[in-house]
Amino acid sequence: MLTYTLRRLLYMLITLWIIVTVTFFLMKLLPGDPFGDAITRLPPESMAILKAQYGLDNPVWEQYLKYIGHVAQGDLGVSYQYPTRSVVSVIKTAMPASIELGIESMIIAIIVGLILGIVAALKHNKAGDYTASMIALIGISIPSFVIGPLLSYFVGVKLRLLPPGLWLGPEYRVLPAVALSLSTIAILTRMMRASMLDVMNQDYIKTAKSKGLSTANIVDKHMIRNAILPVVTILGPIAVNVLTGTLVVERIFSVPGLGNQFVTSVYSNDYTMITGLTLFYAGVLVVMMFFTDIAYSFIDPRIRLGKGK
Amino acid sequence: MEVISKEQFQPAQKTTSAEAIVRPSLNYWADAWRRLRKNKLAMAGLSILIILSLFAIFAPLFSSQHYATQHLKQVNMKPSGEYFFGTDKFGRDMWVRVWWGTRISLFIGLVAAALDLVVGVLYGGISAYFGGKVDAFMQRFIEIIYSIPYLLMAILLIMVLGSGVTSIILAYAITGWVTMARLVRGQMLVLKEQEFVLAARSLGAKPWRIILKHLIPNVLGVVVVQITFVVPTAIFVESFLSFIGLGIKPPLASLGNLLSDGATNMRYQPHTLLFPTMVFSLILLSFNLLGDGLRDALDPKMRK
Repeated sequence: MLTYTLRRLLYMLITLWIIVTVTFFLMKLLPGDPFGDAITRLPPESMAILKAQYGLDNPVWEQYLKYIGHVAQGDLGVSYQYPTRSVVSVIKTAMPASIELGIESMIIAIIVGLILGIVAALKHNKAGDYTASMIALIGISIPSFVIGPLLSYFVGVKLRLLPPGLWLGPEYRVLPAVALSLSTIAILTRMMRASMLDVMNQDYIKTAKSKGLSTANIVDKHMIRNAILPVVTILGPIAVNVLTGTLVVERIFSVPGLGNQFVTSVYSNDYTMITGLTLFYAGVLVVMMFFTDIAYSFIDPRIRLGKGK
Repeated sequence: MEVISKEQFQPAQKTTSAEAIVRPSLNYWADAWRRLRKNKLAMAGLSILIILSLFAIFAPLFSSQHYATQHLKQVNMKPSGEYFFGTDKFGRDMWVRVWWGTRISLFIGLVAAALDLVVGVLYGGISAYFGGKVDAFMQRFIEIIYSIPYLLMAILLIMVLGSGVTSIILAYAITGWVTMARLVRGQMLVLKEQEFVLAARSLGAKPWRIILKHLIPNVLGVVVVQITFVVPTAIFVESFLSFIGLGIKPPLASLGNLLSDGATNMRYQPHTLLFPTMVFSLILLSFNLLGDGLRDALDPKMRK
């Protein structure tokens, strides 16, 4: 167990290092200039001073080493877009909204998705199954950037039930969280359904039935508890899903979060901001994947990772 | 006493054909097709896809309009006999734009899937066949790529490569082949231990021949199913990138940038969002239905 954890930790660090490196060099290859059209208006001497100020006159490998050193210390540089703010401070300001949105949508998705999956499996090949599977299919087929505007339009503008955008009070959180959770609901429903069906065919369910346990007891204690295990493995991918979803959903509902910030930085060629945010996102995801794997081996006693391999 | 008429004593029919094979024997694919045909949802998905592809190919050809022609006197027209899907804010014909967009989106999906297929199958195949150190090394590499969120990488790649059809396909292919490779490897690890591979090897077949002629045909079922999920994912990635302004640039139409435009003008021009959404959702829905059906038809575990 310990060797496995250590090995995973090592991979995690390698992955992060590769992401830092790839991001850094991709940014160096980028067309366009962080100073925008200032380059044509400024005299070369001022340009040189500006470049020196940002360390852009050094050789690339020197910039790279310096960058890695800074990243290791948690310094992601200064934003080109807002010259007075560091990337870390922008991330800190934008993060709470995104985290809140992400967690709310995850909670909605987990509750609804698991219930739909369980219902679908218990009513296998009956109306309940078809309804749940249909909802899941629609959730997969219609992405959040289509659902988002539709929700905002019908619920927010036409029916005036909830605010169609912005991020001011609790009622502003509902629509973005719902829009963001739909595809996750779909993934969870399908996964939970398959997993439940798998468990239902196991011998220990037959044993439980034949020793006269009540249906509620079987479903609760034997089926759901076993069926939920494989679902834990996809929490990592689900986090990716929610995280990338925030890019569009925050944009649609004008939520002042990281996703919105990312898209704005893309538009304004803000290199350091993009690299910083990508690194931050990637870091969060890699760490989440790591914990998912470790947690999984703790939850399921049948799995002893790292042995016999 | 009853009289037995002579007619009742007819010679029996000759039964020389008793050993003839009544039905043609079914190979794997014919059997899968038979199974798939029984699945109504999957067939509906397949039919919708065929119809949409026909529209995507022929509708722009037979229309008098071009996707980029602007009719500035006829902006934001509602759907009518002249413009079936109305016009957008530059007076461009939405009918042609939607089908042109479908064409581009499907093209991106199919080419990305093809690249995914070639790279994933070869990588997975080599990794599984050679095993040992090669496998271990190749798997570590995959593990690392796998943990990099592909949409973020796609965004970075697009920024470097510039927006356009080729860069979207590349951006997807560079990050998307990993799942396929893992899948193929898993299947092949099982297959390569089987007798027919041993037989081929003892007859002196080279590794390449075994991989290409014996192993790959046997994993095709799984691969085909995976492809039906790769195509919609690639289409989704295109629209996602276009939506945040990094994908296909106007005036060229793709479902992604039509959706993006539609979402901005939805409040006053709902038709500009409605039609792209319908086509887009139908494509994704059909691929998913078809994929589910194919999985049931091709997966040996589903056989009863």
